[in-house]
Amino acid sequence: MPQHQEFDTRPLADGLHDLAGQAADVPGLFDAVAADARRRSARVRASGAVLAVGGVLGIAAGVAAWPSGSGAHVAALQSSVTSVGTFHCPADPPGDSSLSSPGAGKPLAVGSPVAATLCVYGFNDTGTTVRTDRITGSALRALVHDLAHGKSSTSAACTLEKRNPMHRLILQYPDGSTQDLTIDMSGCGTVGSGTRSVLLPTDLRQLIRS
Amino acid sequence: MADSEPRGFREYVAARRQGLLATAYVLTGSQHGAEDLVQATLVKVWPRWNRVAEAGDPDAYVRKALLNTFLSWRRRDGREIPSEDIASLPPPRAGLGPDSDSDSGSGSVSGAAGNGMTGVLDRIVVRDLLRALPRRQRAVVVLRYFADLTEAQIAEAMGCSVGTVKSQHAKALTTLRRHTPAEDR
Repeated sequence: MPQHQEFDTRPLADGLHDLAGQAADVPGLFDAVAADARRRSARVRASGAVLAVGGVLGIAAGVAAWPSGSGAHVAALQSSVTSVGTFHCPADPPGDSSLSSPGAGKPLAVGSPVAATLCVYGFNDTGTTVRTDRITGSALRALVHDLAHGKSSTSAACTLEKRNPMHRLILQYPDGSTQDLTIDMSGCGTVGSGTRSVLLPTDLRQLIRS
Repeated sequence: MADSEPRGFREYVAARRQGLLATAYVLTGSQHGAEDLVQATLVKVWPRWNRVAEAGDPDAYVRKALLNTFLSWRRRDGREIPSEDIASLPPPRAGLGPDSDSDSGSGSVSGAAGNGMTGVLDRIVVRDLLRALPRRQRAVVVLRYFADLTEAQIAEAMGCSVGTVKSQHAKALTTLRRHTPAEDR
């Protein structure tokens, strides 16, 4: 082709290798992949169970369309931030006793969690509701960075507005351990471990409100 | 079962991780994009790993999976796509070539960033050049000039004909030539 014969591709090739050298290693990649793969497997099993139960119910009640709607819902959740993981949120929101002092204490998100589960609580006429969001991949890494470098709530001018319920952020580590953080949407909004709290990261705030 | 770790997969990932991240980095143009792309790819490979390993050429399979994932990444919602992905990027700067069709003068291809003295395009220029390409063309360029694959290997990886690879390659180079700062051609 006359056009690309005029184009010397060696600088391009060298430039590509130079650009690729900017890619940072991710030592925890396999753990994240393993956690994600297991979660997907569990989700597929769960959706299969839902489909099976739904099929039985559908036949019994003559509602054949319900299972396919559920399957479509499951398929739509495959993303860095997905709903309904294998980690179950406690039924009740955290109480005031779990609130922490601003600033002091160990940093939040010590180490490299492989996943985080956000439990967003609410109230309706029949009691407490909970929505579960799963955070993995780059969204998780960004969150961990924000938690580790978050500003103390004392650095911001916040209102005294009180909001209930509070929410949970549960960090899950490769060894199976978890770290339970409490999210208080009152005032500026904070996330804390019981001994330390920082201002709520913007992305987390948006996820809670989504 | 997908719950149990496939034998040898951990070792494979440890050995190939950096190479996969590098390829994904030049495809997506960002660290976050690269991490998401590689993770999504390996999650897909996980349940098939035993068969893939037995078949004897896991690199080709993983490369194909990476390409498929990259090319099929859809914009389902704002959280799924790496934030720096192609559609969010500025168009190439107008006036770099005789038939430039850019509608903006605010693009980030900078002649000053080119490194003509060493014969290596500055990484900023390369990244911006790649951003000027549609995904399939970008993939062809990356596989050809970064991964050093032949046209036949690229066709296999992308699941298309050699003729398609050739045409995508030619279009890509035409675009790249048009957008390359004159002193770097």
